[in-house]
Amino acid sequence: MPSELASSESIITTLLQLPSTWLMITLGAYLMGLKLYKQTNNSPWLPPVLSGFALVIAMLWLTDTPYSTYQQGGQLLSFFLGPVVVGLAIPLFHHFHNMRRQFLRLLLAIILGSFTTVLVAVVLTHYWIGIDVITVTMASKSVTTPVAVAIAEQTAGLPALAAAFVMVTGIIGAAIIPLLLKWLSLDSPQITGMSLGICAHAVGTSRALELGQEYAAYSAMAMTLTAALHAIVLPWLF
Amino acid sequence: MELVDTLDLGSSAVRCESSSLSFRTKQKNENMLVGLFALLVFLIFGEAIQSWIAIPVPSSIIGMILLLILIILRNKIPKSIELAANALAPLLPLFIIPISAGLITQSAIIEQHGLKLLVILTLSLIPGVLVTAAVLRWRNK
Repeated sequence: MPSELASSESIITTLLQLPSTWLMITLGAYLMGLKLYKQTNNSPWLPPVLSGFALVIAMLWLTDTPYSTYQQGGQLLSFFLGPVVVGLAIPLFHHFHNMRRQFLRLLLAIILGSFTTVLVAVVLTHYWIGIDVITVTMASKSVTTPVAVAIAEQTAGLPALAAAFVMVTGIIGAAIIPLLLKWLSLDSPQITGMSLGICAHAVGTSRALELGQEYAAYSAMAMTLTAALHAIVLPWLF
Repeated sequence: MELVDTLDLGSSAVRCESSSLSFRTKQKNENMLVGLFALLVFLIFGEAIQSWIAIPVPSSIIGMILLLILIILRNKIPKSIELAANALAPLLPLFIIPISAGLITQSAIIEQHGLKLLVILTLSLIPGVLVTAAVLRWRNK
């Protein structure tokens, strides 16, 4: 009695509604992204988050699944962004400790550098695109994704767009910042490291790690401080 | 704060005499859970404070500041929290993917303004880098 057996098509439709299916697809996409990243010798153009993201988007598009259905599984993962942000207190404590000697100068570089890049981006967006929700979202572009998402939610921006801005900023920044500073003969572990952390957050910091330990230390510090600072200041402005 | 005393509970537990590898792994996993629990407690406290005094700072950042204050007061990072944070951090790209996938709902913005946004994101890096370099170089050495 074949009529009593569900057709394979309806089984697939049912499966595509399940949170666990999308959890599995997301994890699979991430693992494939990780593998691709290793096979391309850690290419800065192909971080696992980008290829994983592209694979998930492709699956959603192919199966015509609404994002809200996907997020029933996906939110199990995005939930962890909260505890990750709380845990940033640990590197922040380490960095405060390490930067005691030049505290004022480093802090000033972080404040002025990070707010300059954000201000320029926000002003350009405001005058060139002129859609408020995009302008507001642009403000969180210079901080690491979990914090950017938190800021975007807080300021009624678009968290997904914020994540995309951050990803693009990080990839471009990691590629051009060391070149720009070398070209200006301003390259030093402190200047390049700080610039990478301030303008290109986590992606910049992993680039800094390839340049050297000292670069990475400055970059990680600048990235964490920028994130904390922006999360505290930006929501009051927007 | 009573919480402070509970954080190191795992590490202060009585050890078995013949400490095998599996025992230590178990101990580490338990510690990690204590750390995750603590991170969640700080997150919830952040949430509570945010709705209590209605400040616009994200609740996770308030939780982070509370944890930072605790660490500064003790001048020591609780082992369990460090374990949990170190376990979560490398998985960050995985946690980010579902949020970024929400971009599929914003495809109109990308189609219309994608190129402009790319230019803005690239251009705005340059003044940021220059200002950073200027502050670090100014009257320095």
